[in-house]
Amino acid sequence: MSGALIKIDEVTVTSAVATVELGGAKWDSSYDVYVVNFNDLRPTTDNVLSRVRILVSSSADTSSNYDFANKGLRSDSTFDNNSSTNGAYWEFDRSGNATGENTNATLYLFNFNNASEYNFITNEFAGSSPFDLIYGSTGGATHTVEQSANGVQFFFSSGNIDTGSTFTLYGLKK
Amino acid sequence: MTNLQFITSVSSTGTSSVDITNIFSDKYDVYCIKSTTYEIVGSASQNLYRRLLDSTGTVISATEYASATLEGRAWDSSLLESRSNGQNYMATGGYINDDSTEGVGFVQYIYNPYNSSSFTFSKTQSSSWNNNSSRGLVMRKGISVHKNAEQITGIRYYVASGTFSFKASVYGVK
Repeated sequence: MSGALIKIDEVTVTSAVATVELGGAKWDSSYDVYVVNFNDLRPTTDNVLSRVRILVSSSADTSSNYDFANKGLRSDSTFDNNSSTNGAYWEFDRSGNATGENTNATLYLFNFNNASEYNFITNEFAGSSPFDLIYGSTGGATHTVEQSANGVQFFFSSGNIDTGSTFTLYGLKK
Repeated sequence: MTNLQFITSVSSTGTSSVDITNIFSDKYDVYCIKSTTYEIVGSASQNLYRRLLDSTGTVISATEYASATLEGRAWDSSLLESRSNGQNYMATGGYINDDSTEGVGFVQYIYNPYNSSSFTFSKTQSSSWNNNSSRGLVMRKGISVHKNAEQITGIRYYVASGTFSFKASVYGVK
């Protein structure tokens, strides 16, 4: 029986890479809302930040039009207020790579097939930071250009994405 | 292809704890647990807690859990933060109420429980009712981790005092 979330693309890293892209040539534009899951996400370099860009015509959009606002939840001290305007990427979470540590997240993508609206996302991250604590974020973000997009690119602020990291893109059935 | 696959459901009344055993396996990396019923019997509203079950089904009660939770209250405009880096339980989110006329609910995602090389992560969101002196809605959004890389096979929900009614369903995310 078919479900409401339709898998469009999935990437499991088999050797460390700098970026992972979901969608692109595999993008299916028949949905209004998309869901991206990151699972067992690990950096090769300790203490780095998770970053995401959109794909436009299957290439990462590196323009400075990324805005985000999120609450950084952490188990060691006062929660963080993280925000930025006109950045070159969205930035979400801090990751460590000690034994057992990894990051898991869900993004919802909105308006990616609408050329007359901004692209919006919501984000929820949960993972281990390099400081032996739970660290995550919850918030929203936008790319302030009226254009359609056909995927997302993931990368860390430094180093590569380690083997075993899994990225999955779903379309939410109308 | 269905990506949210039903595994099991539980329904219990008049107990102080509920174990959902043998729900995690190598078939899934991500799990979703949804509950629409949890009510306390013979006591005021209180928190619902959870602990993980190891590969032998034994409850893990060591101080190996960390959590960070954001709480919103309908009668109070502030957002409260709760955090701990060395609990002997995993925060669940939501009060368990003592009045069957009020509905409650939570959704939890569990990441990598069966992977013996990974910590087990969770994110949770709940909406429930505080039936104490300040009556009203309580929203909680949180993240948790079990900071020991070992194989997890199940989960225990419990209350600190009294007994409770509980109903939940478990799904694998494919």
